[in-house]
Amino acid sequence: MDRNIVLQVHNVSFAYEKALVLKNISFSVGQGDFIALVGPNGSGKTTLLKIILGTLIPREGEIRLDGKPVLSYPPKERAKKMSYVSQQPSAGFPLTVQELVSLGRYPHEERFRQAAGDTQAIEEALRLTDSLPFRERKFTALSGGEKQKVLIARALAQTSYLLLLDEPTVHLDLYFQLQILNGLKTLCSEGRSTVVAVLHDLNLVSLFADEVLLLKSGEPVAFGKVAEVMNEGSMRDAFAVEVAVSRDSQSGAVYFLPRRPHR
Amino acid sequence: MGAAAALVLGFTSPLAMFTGVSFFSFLGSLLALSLVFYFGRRDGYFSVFRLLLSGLGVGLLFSSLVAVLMIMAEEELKALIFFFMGGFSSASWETTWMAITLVPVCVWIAFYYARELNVLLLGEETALSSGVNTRRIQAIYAILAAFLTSISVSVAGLIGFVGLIIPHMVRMVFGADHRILLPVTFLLGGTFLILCDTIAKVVLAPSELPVGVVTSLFGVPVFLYLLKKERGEYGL
Repeated sequence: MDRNIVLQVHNVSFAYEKALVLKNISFSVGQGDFIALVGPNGSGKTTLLKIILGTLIPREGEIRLDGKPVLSYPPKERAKKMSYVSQQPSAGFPLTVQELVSLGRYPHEERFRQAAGDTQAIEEALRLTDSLPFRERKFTALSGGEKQKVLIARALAQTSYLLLLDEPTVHLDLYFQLQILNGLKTLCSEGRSTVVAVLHDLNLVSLFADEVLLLKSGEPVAFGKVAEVMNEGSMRDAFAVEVAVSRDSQSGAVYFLPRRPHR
Repeated sequence: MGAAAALVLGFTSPLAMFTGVSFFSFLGSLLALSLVFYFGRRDGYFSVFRLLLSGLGVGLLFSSLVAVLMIMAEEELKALIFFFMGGFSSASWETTWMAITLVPVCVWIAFYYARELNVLLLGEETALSSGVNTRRIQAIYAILAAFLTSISVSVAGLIGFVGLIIPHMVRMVFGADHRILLPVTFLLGGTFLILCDTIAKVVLAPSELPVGVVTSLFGVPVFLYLLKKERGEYGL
């Protein structure tokens, strides 16, 4: 298949001091893909995102963004290509929602001057995340779900084509989980974005991800289409949980019903 | 601590444009900041809580060293006490001209990188992913803070609480955007100090209260009020 590869993770291993937390991870991501990183707690998903982001340096292997090593880009150029929503945002800051989302435009700005497209990008990010109604409110006064939407809006306002999201639907209710992921999926389908996201909800993974990287103890269990990678056996191996896998007659998507811990 | 060492031990500045007190308070500030940053960092990142504890520890250590210097001091003791009480009575034109020429330059540099400070509000990792060279910005502001502190203490000694309460008050009124926060804090901090100095001179005239006493008398209640009110922000 002829597709434009935007991200290559090649044989990456990483250790915090002596503890090896990632071993021989390799996969590539094409433009418009929605990739889910799935695995139990401590399997190295967040570490892998940070290595892709360039904030952690792998012990072995290499990350290539648009064919060039990720660390070869100056910080602002890298930020134009890749944005990130962390699992644990900073404790709090009394900026308004509008001010906070506008910080996503930093890599595009010239000093003391707005960049072309700033207003449009901020408006679209607020609209996509349904954050327009509280744009003038202080971030610290928002609920957990609203804060999460604003943080995603900030990353969208960065208008980079690769979005790295660490549990983007945490704190969101069912409606907004679907709304945010639908919005991201639409951006991917239109070829405007590519998503690599850590997701814990297996049914959301099945609904939205094109491909899945399943990790266990820092090692790749499998990488591929949801239906190929996520089955009773692999779920038992990775999560130590008995999971019933069925297929939705309407959409054809597989769905998962956890039964019991497998020990 | 650097300033106290210069006063007691009679250190002189190797650079003609700085007094011994300003030069060694700059070195002392840099040393204190380096220690606070070293102990406040874990896994490559700062946390507010670690920085606070690390600052507290380094502050206590340096207070002990100052106490040792005070015991060693003989005829310099009076100058040292005036220095710690803070005030403009001992200011000279030499230190004032130094402040007039250097402070605006430092404030301009601080203002120049205000947007980066805004992005850093999101946390170090998100700031990095937004294209901010966080190490460089932290180094610039650490050096600026040390430099501005050393210039200020060489003019007026230690005057407490202005630097602590004014930025918080401005933030409550004008929000957290550093492009507004920095210049307004600069102007309001100066205005507040002039007001306190006038009160210090008038209230017990003809004798004069140390201005540091007045700023603290106003500052501590305001600071405690803000601490109570700002619950939930900056992890407090």
